[in-house]
Amino acid sequence: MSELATPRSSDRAALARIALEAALAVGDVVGAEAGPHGAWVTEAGGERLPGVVAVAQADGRYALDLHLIVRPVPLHELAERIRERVVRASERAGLEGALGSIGVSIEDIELLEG
Amino acid sequence: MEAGGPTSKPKPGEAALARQSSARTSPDTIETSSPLTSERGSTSIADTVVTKIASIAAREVRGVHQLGGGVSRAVGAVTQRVGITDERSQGVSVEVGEREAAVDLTLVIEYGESIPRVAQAVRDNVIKRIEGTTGLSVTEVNIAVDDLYFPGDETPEPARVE
Repeated sequence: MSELATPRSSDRAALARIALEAALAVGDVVGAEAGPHGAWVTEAGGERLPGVVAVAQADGRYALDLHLIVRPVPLHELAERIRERVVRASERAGLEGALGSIGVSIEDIELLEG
Repeated sequence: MEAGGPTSKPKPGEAALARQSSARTSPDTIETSSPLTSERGSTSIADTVVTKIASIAAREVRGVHQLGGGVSRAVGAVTQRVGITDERSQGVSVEVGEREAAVDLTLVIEYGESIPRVAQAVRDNVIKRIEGTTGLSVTEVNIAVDDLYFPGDETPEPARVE
């Protein structure tokens, strides 16, 4: 048996879904970006989650990368709010042990003007 | 603040070179000084985001009539009409790293305005908006004044009906 933590196989998809939902629920986040040729999509069990990539880390946890479209607000503060929300959501789901780093990529900003 | 730059034609890749050399200067200190890095993960900002902010910030300055060189304005007028490009990317070129950004702008300035004063105001506003919004540090803003605008320069739209 490996000394590394061995999260359940479904943890990756569950974390990705929870993180994406949590991020999209943050004010000033308006959408997620699937990326060129769908590079930023997590697919698991027939489920397609555009804008989030979950990748196993060496320590057995999963690193999350969120690719988001947001409103033009201070982005570093917004990114921290997103991370806090993702951490809380994963704790509520009992998946905090599987949660690794949370990368936030601001892919575009949506302006109110035309 | 170190940011700033000459009011002259930016050379291709100038911004990229500036950013790369700047990013390599102090590798031991950069990880802790950026608001874009935390113990939980890092934040990255796409070029598109910085381009839009720079474009809007430049247009906010009085005396700036338009962004883009003659060719890009002509091509832009066509491509925007068919919805291929966004006007906000015209005349703006950026290089964005993990912690820093460099910006090249091409402007058309209204005749009668002081070019050095408008250029400085644009530079200040672009730096303020990018740093405030993204947390990136702006290493330079190079400005090329491509043309002067005189009132009445616009070519009237051709009549659709006679």
